[in-house]
Amino acid sequence: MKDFFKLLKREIRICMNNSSIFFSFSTFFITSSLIFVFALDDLTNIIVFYKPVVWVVLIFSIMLVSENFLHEDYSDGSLKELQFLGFSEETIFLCKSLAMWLIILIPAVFLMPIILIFFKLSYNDVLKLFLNIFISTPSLTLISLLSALFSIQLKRNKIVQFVIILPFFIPIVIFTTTSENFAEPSKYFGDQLLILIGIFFITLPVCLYAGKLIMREINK
Amino acid sequence: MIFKLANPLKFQKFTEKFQPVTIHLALFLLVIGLFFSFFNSPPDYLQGETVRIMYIHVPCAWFSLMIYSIIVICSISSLVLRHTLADLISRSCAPIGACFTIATLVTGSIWGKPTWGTWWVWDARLTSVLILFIIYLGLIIINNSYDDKSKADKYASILAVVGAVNLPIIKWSVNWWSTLHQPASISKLSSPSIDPSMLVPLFIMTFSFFFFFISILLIRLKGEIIQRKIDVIKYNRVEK
Amino acid sequence: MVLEFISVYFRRNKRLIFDNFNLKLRKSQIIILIGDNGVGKSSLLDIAAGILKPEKGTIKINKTPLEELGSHKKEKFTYIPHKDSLKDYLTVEENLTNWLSLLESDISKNEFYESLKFFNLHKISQNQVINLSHGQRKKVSLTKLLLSKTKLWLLDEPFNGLDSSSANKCKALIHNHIKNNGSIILSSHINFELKASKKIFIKKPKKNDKQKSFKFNSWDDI
Repeated sequence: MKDFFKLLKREIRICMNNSSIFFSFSTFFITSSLIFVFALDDLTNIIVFYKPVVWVVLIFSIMLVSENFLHEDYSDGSLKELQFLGFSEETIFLCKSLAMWLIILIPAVFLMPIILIFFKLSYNDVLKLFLNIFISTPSLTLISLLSALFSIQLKRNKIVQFVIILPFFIPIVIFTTTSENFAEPSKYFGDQLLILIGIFFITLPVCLYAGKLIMREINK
Repeated sequence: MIFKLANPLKFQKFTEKFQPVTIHLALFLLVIGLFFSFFNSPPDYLQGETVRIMYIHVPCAWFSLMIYSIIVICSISSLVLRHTLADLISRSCAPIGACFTIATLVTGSIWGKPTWGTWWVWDARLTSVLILFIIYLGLIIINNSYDDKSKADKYASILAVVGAVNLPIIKWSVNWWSTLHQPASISKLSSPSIDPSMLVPLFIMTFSFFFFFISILLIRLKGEIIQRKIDVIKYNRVEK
Repeated sequence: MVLEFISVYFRRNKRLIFDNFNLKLRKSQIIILIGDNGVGKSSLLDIAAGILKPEKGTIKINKTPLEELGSHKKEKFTYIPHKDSLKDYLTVEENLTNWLSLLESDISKNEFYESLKFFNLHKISQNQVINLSHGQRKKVSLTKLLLSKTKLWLLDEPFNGLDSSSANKCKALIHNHIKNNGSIILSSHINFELKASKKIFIKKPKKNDKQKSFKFNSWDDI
């Protein structure tokens, strides 16, 4: 536990100093959603498209950032250093994902007002979007970091990462974007969030265990 | 039997002996099965002649799931026991499984056009099979993108075990969600909801596909073993 | 016995690197590993640090097997690998304090700045690491040795990229550590002299050893 907080402090300190990560993330997020807006034909009914656009853009930006997040540590040897200092692989993986979530995705929630303006959303929709992002991004972070670990040693790593990541993102995307006005609006929304929380509790142990196995293999 | 195979050389000889038998069995059964399915089975009272696609579609679907289960079992045993044969089997199975899955999807959509009126619907069964196909692609890419084969095997087996979450979803998707796809007809062997005259060609085709799968697997395994041997000799070459 | 390799068998990417390898490191002893590129010097240090696991054999530090150490590993040895694990966008000082906070070591501010002076790093302590030269980076990572309080040092090519005066300082550091009952393993691709040291020449396995593995009698061989 002590190890965990020490490592988390280190990660956050490193991220804070390298502000370009969050900057590139937010720039990518805003510009690519802009491109979607330009590519849409029917601007009068733009509110219909906000969910797919937000989620596709969010997933792509998480993927890009996660690769940065681990690749630097791998290439300068600090992943190896943490391992021979005796930190367990699960702790390293958990700290990385928690740091990424805290540093990048929590601030990203505050980019949502821009989406509100772009897509002419009501405040109610934005609140739901906030909640959805808040609950589903932990699993997205874990999965994307795991896929970054898979592809860290490859040159064509973006493609590999994308193919690995895609099948595991699909259920999350399905449950975050299902229409909430299904018969009973309020109740259905609650169910959907519960399913997302359930998905998180499945991904957490699976990703930690798989991450541990990969990290042990990575230095060979 | 196991002791006989406990050696790459003996296994290689075994594949050389056994592979022609399986391929001939597969061809023989395929001819009989095709004859039965085209000429000796009744058309469906609802779907007419299009039901004959079933004799390819259903075995392919079964094998796409079965091969993935084989990969998962081999992956778990390679992670736990670290046996090279398990690695080799899962590595050779992945492309075969991908082919069966794409065959399932293609025949399914050909069947879907006359019966459902559309090539594709985004329902649970079809989507989960598509995900299975993408996972197969991921396995193939990982297997081919690392120079160090043992590392690639380890990564691929981790991915296969993680992707195993998809298997129960595919199997029970027709029961959990309301979909266009019909539920399994042959789940209960004692009283299948399908006529015996259709069941006979279906099973003949299944066995034919099974032997076909075994024979391709043996060819690939033999190739993998030879490739590994070449690698070992190449890496350990002594400079004079 | 500070560090002990007992009949280690190790392969990397199916290439045989160590077969029945034994090594004993006593108190106040230096072992220099000398060998060509790719014979497994760095692998040996990685094995000693517990990053790579040999297929057969055990490694003991102070008579306890390496696997049982767990999170106490950092109290037993200091390993300076080839990759310096310095973060580009942090300053020299921040990099070192980050490292110290992971170690939970209680080094006073004064002691810290004194250690920086050893390699003349105090002038550049506020520079970002990305602006440093290769040799300066090496010096920063070698400063970790001054800050650590462990008895066993594992050094991968410590003199690589250092100018002659810094290399002499590094040698002095090594001798000082030996006087204080420390022990060191260091690797080098060139043969050089160091007082009170024992050299081990690592060579590629001979042809006879390899012919055995070409018979493919077991599944482990491929």
